[in-house]
This record gives sequence, structure tokens and C-alpha cells, in this order.
Amino acid sequence: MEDLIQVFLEESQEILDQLEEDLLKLEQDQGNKELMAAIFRAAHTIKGSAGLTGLDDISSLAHRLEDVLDQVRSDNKVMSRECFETVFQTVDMLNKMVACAAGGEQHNPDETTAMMERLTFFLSEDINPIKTAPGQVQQKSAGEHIYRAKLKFRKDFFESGTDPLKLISELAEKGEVLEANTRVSTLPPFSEIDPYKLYLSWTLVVRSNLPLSELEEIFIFVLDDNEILLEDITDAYDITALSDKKTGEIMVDDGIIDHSDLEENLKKQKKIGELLIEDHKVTRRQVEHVVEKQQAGRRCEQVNTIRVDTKRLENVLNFIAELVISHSRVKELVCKQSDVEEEVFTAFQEVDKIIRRLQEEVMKTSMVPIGGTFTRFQRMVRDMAAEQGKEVELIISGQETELDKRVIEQITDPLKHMIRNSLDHGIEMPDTREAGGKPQAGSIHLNAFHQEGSIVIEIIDDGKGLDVDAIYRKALEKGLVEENNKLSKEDILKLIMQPGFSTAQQITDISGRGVGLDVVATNIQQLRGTLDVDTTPGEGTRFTIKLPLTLAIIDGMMVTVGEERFIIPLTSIVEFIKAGPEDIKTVEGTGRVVNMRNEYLPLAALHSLLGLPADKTDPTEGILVIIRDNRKKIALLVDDILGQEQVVTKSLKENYEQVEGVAGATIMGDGRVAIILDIPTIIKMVGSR
Amino acid sequence: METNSLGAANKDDNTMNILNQQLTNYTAENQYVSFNLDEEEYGIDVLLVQEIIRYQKPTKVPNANQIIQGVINFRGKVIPLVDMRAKFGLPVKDYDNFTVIIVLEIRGKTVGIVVDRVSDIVSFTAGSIQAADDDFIRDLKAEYLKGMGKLDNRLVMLLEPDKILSFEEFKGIQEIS
Repeated sequence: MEDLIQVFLEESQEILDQLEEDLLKLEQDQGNKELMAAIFRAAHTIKGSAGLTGLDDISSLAHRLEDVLDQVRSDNKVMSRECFETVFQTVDMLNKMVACAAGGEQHNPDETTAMMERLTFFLSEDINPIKTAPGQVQQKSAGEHIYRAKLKFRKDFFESGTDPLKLISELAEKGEVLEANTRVSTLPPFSEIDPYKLYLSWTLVVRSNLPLSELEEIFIFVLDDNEILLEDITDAYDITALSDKKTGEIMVDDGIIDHSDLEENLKKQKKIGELLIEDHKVTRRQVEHVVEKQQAGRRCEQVNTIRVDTKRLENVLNFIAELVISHSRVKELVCKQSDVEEEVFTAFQEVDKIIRRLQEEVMKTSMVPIGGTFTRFQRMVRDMAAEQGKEVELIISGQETELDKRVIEQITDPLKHMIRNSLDHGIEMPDTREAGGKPQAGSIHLNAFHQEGSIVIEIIDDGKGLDVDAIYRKALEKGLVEENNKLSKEDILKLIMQPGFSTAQQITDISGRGVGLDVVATNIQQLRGTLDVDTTPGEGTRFTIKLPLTLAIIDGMMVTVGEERFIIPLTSIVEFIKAGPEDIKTVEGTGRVVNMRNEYLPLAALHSLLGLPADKTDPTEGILVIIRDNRKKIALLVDDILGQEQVVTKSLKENYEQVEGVAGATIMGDGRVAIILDIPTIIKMVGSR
Repeated sequence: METNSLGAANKDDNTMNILNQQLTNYTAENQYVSFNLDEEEYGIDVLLVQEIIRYQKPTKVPNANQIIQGVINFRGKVIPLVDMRAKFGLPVKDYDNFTVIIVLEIRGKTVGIVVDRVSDIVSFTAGSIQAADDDFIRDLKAEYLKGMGKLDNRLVMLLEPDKILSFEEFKGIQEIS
């Protein structure tokens, strides 16, 4: 059962996301039957699987949603704006309920009920009378009941002296007969008919204001010996509900046939192939061939995707990494011997290549396209634009670009914030835009592509752009820059990522939640990515996020301090310098600084930060690595540089604990562990000393 | 000299291999892997022991606790090494060919402990274990002890695995998990 719920929760998340996406499309393209069908199916699936997993509240809300959608679908109606709004909110609530269920919490049932009532409003209000074809029904109105009477009398019923027709007409007098069906399949061939026997049975649907008991009274004398079933089907009686049912099932419900008839006839039903053979249109071999192909296709479809615990994938990756290490050990041992043949060497290289391929393939399994995340913002942009009275179109491209699932999870929030930011501060009001000679509707373009082993995400708006001078003035005001400091445009733009910087004139509900661009920049940096801004006044702003494809592998520079080796992520390194004695200055109170092309950077020695012995404690002897985060640059003294490495990151937290200044660890080619430094905290450590 | 130390290493490897082989077969309770620190003999529940491996120099972790020697690669996992001598406040001793790492899995965490040498797997009958009560712990200032096992004239101090993790230096682990 637990598993079942787990599967449901995972699935419903996807389904709801898709549902929302489709709804957004439908809003632009009302009357698109395919979309409507997809949306309806989604609601139907949620209803069904929620019911199956015992999440009744989700199931009933989805059911109501399905009702509304079904009404729109089968009547080919146009949904009103309010109706869309309510449906969107229902989807939101379903999302919330699923999240609650995932967290093992109870969702507030009152909210659910309220939402259901709002949906019901559209059911009763918006309904178009269904055109009443012969044998079809008018919609029920309040106070009325709909009853179904299933009448199956004994074969020797006539002997009791009662006329079934009398009973039926008596029933008909109690209300309006909506449907009357007679089951004739039980009639024997004419020659075998015994006129004293009753072969028929009936099912009637009657609409009446009377209570069920009054109808039952009609049959009071025959109730015991015969199969008389009277039931109130007011709630279930809905002609639209039939659309999902098969003809046979409806006939069973209506009492025209019963289950045995149905099964008997279904058995008789021949496959199309058989019929074609009978007509000599095709040969049996041809049919068999086609069927085989079909089955092979079905088999393929079944194994197309499977769900795998990411933990398992990580294990596989771990073992591959181990394999690489063991392999290089074996290689070393064999190649140490003097008389190694060339062939052995080539064979080793072959194995190397295969392992690397294997590693790549497994890595790929945790890659997903970013499109899903992008489309999720459609809704947000739509709602926000409407709220602010702006017209904004979100253009999406590059949705097929793949990256690590974990990166996607962690980039979603920063992205969301940046889009909000563009919409809030970038895009102008329609009239302002028009006055400036721009189209009324602004656009925000989300784009993703691969570039040199990284993924680049761009957020481009065609709004008013950033006012570089205003930013500079504000930075001066806030004391973020010094008066006579000449800054380039790029440097000034970087200031908006500083903590405590916000150019918004008024704090809006959305962007003003205290989350500034600095938080976004920090988040991106934690993913070992970078954030850049470019702007043209009056034409718009472009934010460029560059991220590693995966968190599992990082490009790093290996440095040494004493006997220890450390990895510094390449994205944090600006350059390496060798300083002369004249470049190093001691500043009273703040420690040493190094002069790099007339820029003074704080100087810190890695060994003293980490409390390790070092070979080179004199900054002029060792190498200075210039590292940076989104705020500042510092020079870090290390003994030596060993070279660039691509390493697989391992968590230190898994078996030990988070250590300050350490981002993780990696296992080197020789099987030893090397520590990966966390540059932002290292820089912080320097500042706090 | 060369051959001598090599011999010792081989002998030690043999002990390790035999113990590791035995480990895979042991499932019973009240069985302990016994190891030495100085003259003292300690025991750790056999079910917690993943493997006994030769000592390897760990990678130092900056800013880590004193008793954490560093981290090593254990089958693709990065695991911390706890220096049992430092933990029990024993004098520092140079590592030799008998020094081994016992890899333990305690509450989902894999941890290696560095000990002077492993001897064997011992089993105690329930009667031969004197459980550590409060007085006992207070008197000995040894909250990490589960009890004392008596075996002929040997006295084996049985470690409480959870207590190994509840030491102050492991606070971080608990906060995370």
C-alpha cells in the first residue's frame, strides 16, 4: 500500500504539471479537442489512482473537476475566464493536497469542500441543455428523483394472475418514464415459445417527485417471489457519464442484456484479422506476421522507461569510480615489469576507454531535459502579468537541453525569482511601452543550450533595461563602492548582485520578499555556476546563468599544501600569480594584501586557514591563486599547483559531517582521497579573521 | 630487517584475511571482534564490522575534530577514521604493521576505527558478560562500555557502538541525521 501511494504521488506530480501546461495552451486555443481530451484524461487518471490509493479527498475533488471538464468537452463549450480561473485553482489545490499526502499531512477538508462547491457552480450554471434526442433525457431539477426499476419476473408469472404490463403502467403514472428497456435476448426461437411463460424482463428509468417507498408499493405483492430492484440513481444518473463506457456495459446497466449475454457475444466477436481471412482479403500468414510485429512493438513500449532509485545509480557510479582506480592499479603493476608487450598496453587503453564510456552513460541516466521546469513558469508569468496589468509573453526555447536532475531541482527557485524580477522591474506597463514605440506586450525569453561542457540558461526581457548610473549612485549611497573608484559597466552591473542592493522603487508583493539577486547569485555559485548581466537601456536585460552539467563531476585545479592535496573548483579561480616581495604589503589591522595590476587583494595562506603544516609559508615562494565569489576576490597562498583534474565529487556528510570550508571529497586515481574546497566559505573565513 | 617487517606484514595480512573470512560467516549474537589498544583488549559486536583493512594514511580534513585522523576511500565511499588512541586518551604510538582499520557500520554511517591490532573473534556466553551499570560506568569514567567479557584469564572490554557515535565529536552526525 505504501508503495502504491509512493507511485501515485510521483505520478500525480507529473500528471498535474502536464495538466497545467495543457490548460495554459487550451486557454490560448479553446476548442482544441485533443488538448481537452488530454486534460480530461489527466483529471480522470488522478481521480482513479487517488481513489485506488485511498486518498479520497483528492479523488473526489478530481472527480468534480472531471465533471466540469467533461461537460465542457461533451458540449463543445467555451470555458469562461472565471471557469479557467477556478480550474487552475483546483489544480493548485490538487498539487497542494498531493504535497500534503506526500508529507503525511492532512489537507484542510474545508478548503476542499469550498473548492468543490465552486466547481459545482460551473456545473449547474454553465450547463447547456443537452439536445433531447428521442430516448434521451432532460436534466434533472431540484426535488426530483430518478429511479431505476429492474423488473425480472418468474417465468410462470402469468399463473399468478398478475399482468406485468399493468404494474409497469402503474409505475409510469407515478412519474415520467425517461427510459424503458426490454430484454429480449432471453426469448427462445419462435417455434419453441410457450405462450404461458413470461420470457421478458424490463428496466425502467423514471423521474418522480415521490419518495422511493411509494414506488415500491406498486410491487408490494410481487416483491417476494420475483427479482424486483428499485433504486434511487439521482446522483449517478448522468448521461455524460456514459461516454466512457462501452456499449455492452451500458446495455447491461440498462437491462437490455445481462452479463452472460454480453460475455457470450464478446466471445463470438472475431478479430479483424480473422474476418479479413474469411473474406480472402488477406492470408493467415500475413495476419500472423502483423500480429507478431504488433506484439513486439508492445513489448518494446513496456520496457521503454523504468523508474530507478537515484541511490542505486549513485551506487553504480561509485563502483565504476572504484573500477577506474583498481584498473589503474592493475595497469601500474603490469606495466612496471620491463618486458610488457605493446598489445597488453593497448588492451589496457581499450579498457580505459570502455570504463569512461560506461561512466558517461550512467551519468546520463540522471540527466533530464529542462523543458519541464521552463513550462512551469508559464503559469506564474500569466498570473503575475494579469495581476500587474501587464501583458507578458514567456517564450521558451532549448527545452530539450539536458542537465543533472539535482541541478534542475536547485536552479528552479533562482530561475523563478529572476523571471519575477524581469517581469516586475524589467517589463513596463503597456501604455509606457507603446509610448516608447514598443509592442504593448512584453516578452521574457527563456533559453537553454549547451556550451563547452556547461549549460547556459538565458533570461532575456525586452523591458526598460537597467539604469547603470542609477545603480552606481545607489551603490555609492549604500557604501558598496568608494567615491573615486572608476568602475566599468560590467563591474557596476555586478553590484546588483551584492547583498542589500535593490533598485525596486516600491516593494512589490512578489519581488520584495527579501530575496535579492544576491541570494540568487549565491545559489548559483553553490551549484558552481556563474551569473552575468548585460543590459541595453530601453531595450532590455539579459541574465546569463552558466551551470555545470552535473554536480557529480567537477573541473578542479589540484593544489598542494604540505603533504595534502586540495581541489579548487575551476569556476572559482580567476588566475594564478607569482608575487614578488614588492607586491606584498602589510596593512595595519587587516593583514597582508597583494598588489595585482594595481588592484589590492587580501592575501591569505591556505595552510594557516586550515591549520596544516606547509612547505612554503612565504607568499613570494609559493603560488597565489586568485579566487572569487560573487562579492570579492582574494589571493590564496598554496605550495604548488599539480594540474587540472576532472573529479567525481563525494559527500563528506554521508559518513561524517559537514566541515567548514570543505565542499566535499573526491577519490583520486591512486585511490587516495582529496578534499574539495568550498571557496565561498574559505573567502568568508578570510573575512572573519 | 626488510624481510622481518615483510614477514610481519604477511602474518598480519593472514590474520586479517582469516578474520575477514570468518566475518562473512558469523551471524550469531554475543560474538565480538577483539582488538588491542596498548595492553587493553576491547571487543566490538561482530555484526557491526564490515571489514578489517590494513592501515592506510588518511587524507587530513581541515577543521575537523582532533580524534578524526582524516578520511579514506573505502570501496568508493569517503569514510572518516577515528583514532581510538586519541579517543581513549592513550599516548600516541607509531603505526606499525599490525595497525589496522576496523570498518564499522553504525546507524547507517560507515566509520573506520584505528586500532593497534586485531586478535580474533571471541564469543561469550550470556553469563560471562558483566553488564556495565551506572556505578560501573561512573567509577571507570567509561561511558562507551557496554560491559566486560570474561574469557579464561582474558578480560575484554565490550564497546557500546551507539556510544561511539554519541561522543561529542560526532554531534555533527546526529544533527544531520
